[in-house]
Amino acid sequence: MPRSCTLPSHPSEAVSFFHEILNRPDETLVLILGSDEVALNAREVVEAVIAENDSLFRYVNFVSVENPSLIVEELKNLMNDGVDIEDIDNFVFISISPYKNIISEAVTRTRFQLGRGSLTTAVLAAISNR
Amino acid sequence: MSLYKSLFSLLFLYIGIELHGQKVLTVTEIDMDGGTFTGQKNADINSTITLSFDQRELIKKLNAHGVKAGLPDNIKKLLDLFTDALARKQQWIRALNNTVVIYEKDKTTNLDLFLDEQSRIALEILTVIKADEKALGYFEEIGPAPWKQLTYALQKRINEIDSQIIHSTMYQDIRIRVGGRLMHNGQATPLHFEGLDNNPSGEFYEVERWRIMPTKEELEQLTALQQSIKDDPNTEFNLKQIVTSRYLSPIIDELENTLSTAWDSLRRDVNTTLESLSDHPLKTSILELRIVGEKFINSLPAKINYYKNIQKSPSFTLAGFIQSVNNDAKDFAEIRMSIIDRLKTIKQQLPNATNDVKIVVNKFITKFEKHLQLFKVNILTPSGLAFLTENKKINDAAFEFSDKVLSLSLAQLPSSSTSDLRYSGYRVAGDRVDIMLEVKKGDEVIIPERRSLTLYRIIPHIQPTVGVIFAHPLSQTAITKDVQMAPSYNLLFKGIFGISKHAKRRSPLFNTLLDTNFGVHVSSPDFDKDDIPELGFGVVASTLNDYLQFGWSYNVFLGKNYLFFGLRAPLPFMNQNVNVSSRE
Repeated sequence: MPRSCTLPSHPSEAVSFFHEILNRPDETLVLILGSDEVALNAREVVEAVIAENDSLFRYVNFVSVENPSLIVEELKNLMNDGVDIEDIDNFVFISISPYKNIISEAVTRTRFQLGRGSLTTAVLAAISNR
Repeated sequence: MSLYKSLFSLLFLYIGIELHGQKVLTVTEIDMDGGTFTGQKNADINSTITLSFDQRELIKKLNAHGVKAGLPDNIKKLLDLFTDALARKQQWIRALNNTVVIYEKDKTTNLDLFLDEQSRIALEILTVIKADEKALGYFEEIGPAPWKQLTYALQKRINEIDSQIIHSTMYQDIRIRVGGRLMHNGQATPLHFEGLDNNPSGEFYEVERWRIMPTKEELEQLTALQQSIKDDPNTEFNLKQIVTSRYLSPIIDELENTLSTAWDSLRRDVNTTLESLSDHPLKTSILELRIVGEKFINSLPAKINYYKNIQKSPSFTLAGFIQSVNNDAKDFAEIRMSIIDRLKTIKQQLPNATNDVKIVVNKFITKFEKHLQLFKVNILTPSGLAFLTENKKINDAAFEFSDKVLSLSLAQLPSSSTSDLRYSGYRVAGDRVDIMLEVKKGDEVIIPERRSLTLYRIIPHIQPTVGVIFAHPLSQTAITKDVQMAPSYNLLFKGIFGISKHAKRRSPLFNTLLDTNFGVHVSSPDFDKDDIPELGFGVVASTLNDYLQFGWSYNVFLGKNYLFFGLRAPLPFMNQNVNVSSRE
């Protein structure tokens, strides 16, 4: 089954939790950012994806990040495949590749609202980033 | 025995060799009970026929004829990429599943393999969906459900590009015409297909499925039979007499003559062909054909003698006689299939042969088929065996399009079109539906396709039959011999038990000779010989296209059981008295 978890709200706990999950070499990470309605909707969509248990998402970990500012600096330290972290407030998803932890794709709120399948694209981008 | 000789001829009658390969036109039948059948030889007489057109196949064939869309290369590349990806989807799903399974067996050792495999597959998929903006847009429109998204996006883009292709100016002088006709008694009635022609809808006529009461013609037949039997001085027979009676032996003699002369001529042709083929592999197939044919011919004298000598045989029984009839019919069917298979093999091997060989063998096949047609024509004398006719194709007029059939451009051709046969006017079993598709470039026909469906009453229905029975009372009556002739009326329940509807759609034999059915029976024997017919009710089984029937019945007036076997009208000896109704 794909995993899901929530980033702790306390700053130092959030950072150490983030590093812990970055250390899992077989996991692709998808961060669900924010706490607005779009983010809530995104979390519902993710629950349905987890229930489906498709092999593409088997080793994906969906991380709920209600307060993205807690880990912005950590994200800036990771390898990046062209995603502008400064724009993080516009993103609802960020996907991170397994093992090398490369920030692979960011899905803006607009893009997600136009098409929920953008989540799949983000996951594919991260998985393919070897 | 006459029936067997006629059956032998039928072995060779129906040679339909289907060409394999992709087609533009597909014909599907939907019967009144909702059954769907595609690409069959036969259809139910009340069904709806749907024609569907494979646009990709059509474009492929046009390309093969040098007519290409003239699309930019990048669009063609996209089409190939998307079509290929759609075909590879299952592979991707399987590979991803396998990769997870392997990883989970030993996570430490297999981590790198897992990450590599996963990444490879994801990259391949990503490359496809990001190949153009529209594809990505469609991909993200639905989901998240990766495989549904993939199928949706690819199919939509492929359809869009296909549409671009068919509207290409390179196809502007391509015209397509599709039409159908119903052949009844050699007369053609055009069928109406929505969007393909302006033919008017025909008169509504549904072949009745559940008719129990006799028609006026059937009542007339029964009356005529009753009168004929009354006038006939010989209505009682011993069973053995029947086989070599004045009714059947002229037919036996005629068939024996025809058979031996035709087979001799055929054998000569086979031998001539074999001689000129030296060591070609086709020779083996033709030799096998000869062996099958000769084996059967050599088995015939014994069978014929059995039936001729029944009168002298001390061990004759009715049950044994009926058993022989059925066994011999099965033999016929098997040999027929065997011959058809061998002819198929020969035709398949032909493309690999040199031109010289092709000429010789094609000549042989044409002659062979001609002989078999002659069998059919010579054996079907007016005196008796018209009921064993297969559909005559020889005399039908060539199928030509009328000006009511629309000439459509590639873009105008619908993906499918339907015609309800119940609006094609009066039909009987054995009638045929012909469909033709023609693709023209300017004046030249570059892609012709034809299909035919023979109509039979396949789905469950009731079949009334009129005939004579030979009744054998099981207790003492005024009858001095074994059996007495009497008219009969049967209601056969067809298509309910017995041969599958699939078999009936593949071969005419299953609709005719091999079709066995059961039903209820009414007859009017005269056991007390007072010239007043009595009434009998019973059950009947029929086979050989209902021409041979047998069963048990109860004479209600006299309270006597009887067994019977019977023959169906039209009957050889009855033709002059009875109106022959159309074959049902």
